[in-house]
Amino acid sequence: MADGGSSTFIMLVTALLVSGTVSTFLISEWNQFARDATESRKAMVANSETGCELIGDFSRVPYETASQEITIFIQNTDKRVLDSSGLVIIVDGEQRSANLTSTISPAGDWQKGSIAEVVIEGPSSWSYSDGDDVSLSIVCSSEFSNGVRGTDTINQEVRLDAF
Amino acid sequence: MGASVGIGGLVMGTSLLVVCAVALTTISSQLDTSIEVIESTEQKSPEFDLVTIDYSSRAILSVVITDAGTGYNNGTISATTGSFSATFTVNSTGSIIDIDIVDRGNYSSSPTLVVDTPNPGVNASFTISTGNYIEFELLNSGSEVMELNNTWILLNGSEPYNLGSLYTPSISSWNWYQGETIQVQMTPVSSAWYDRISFSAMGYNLAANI
Repeated sequence: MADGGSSTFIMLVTALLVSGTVSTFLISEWNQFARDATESRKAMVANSETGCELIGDFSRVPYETASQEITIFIQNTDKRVLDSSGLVIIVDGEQRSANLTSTISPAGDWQKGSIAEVVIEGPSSWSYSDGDDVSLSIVCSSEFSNGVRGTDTINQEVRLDAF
Repeated sequence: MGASVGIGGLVMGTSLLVVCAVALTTISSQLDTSIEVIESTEQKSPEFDLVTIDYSSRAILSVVITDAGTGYNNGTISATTGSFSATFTVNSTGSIIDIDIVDRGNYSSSPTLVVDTPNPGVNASFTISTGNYIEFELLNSGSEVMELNNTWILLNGSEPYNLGSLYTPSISSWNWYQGETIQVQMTPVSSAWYDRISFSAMGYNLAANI
């Protein structure tokens, strides 16, 4: 009886330990999953509310040969305010993000519907001439909100109007 | 008793597993719902058509009354050359007080404006200014109500103009409804010669020769 009682007690303790450990593990994983799901959802919402589009005449993008500057216009097409300093622009595969000046119109934050006039300064190696087609890749980012920012991407081929 | 407690522990553990499984299923279901909601809020692209466009690089933009004259009846004004025409109204003494331009014409050199005869008045004279003048009609041909302020017009690929600034609705609404045509006149400040115009709104682009 005493032996039977001890083994039963050991089984009981073991069962409680195992179920406790499993419960702790599962609750911990569940919390992590819930946090990840929340973060993913916030990121998805941010991306879905962030939008930008290249506007204007794609067959007539101004290119000033003397200063080697391409001027493009980008419109904020969604709810979130865009960060003009966070623009990433790649011209024919070459990153030019550090050589940009952007002017928002109407002046102020880059709100939905507003446009940014972006002047991309090229390197001295650029030898574009009138009528050349260039490939633009643009990544717009929204301002941070709740710790996340959304992004949107534009890929567009345009024809330069050299002057 | 010990055995029943042990079985009770196992039942508890199993219950916790079931609860966790249900929770995971619920979270997964909520995520699916979120994605559906996000996708349903995606914006549709607007759509519009350029119905008519008229461009004059040296149109008569304004007519200033230098001398209002006397003895006139309400009448019309034309230019010695070209298609310019306007109507005018007079006050009680027959002096010209207001001019409405009907046709701005297109002139390589400034014409002289004259009051069309028969009209009994005398001495009226005018000063004109010429420049770029673009007049166009846009039709909202899509299924979305658009905001005028979200539409931009570019000339020769640059010089952005906001449609909300160019067009003043007859009622105080900045919505541009489906099937609605708006007529816009613009006088670009630059004296450049234009041959391309483009219209852009929230991802929809339209370009045309002028």
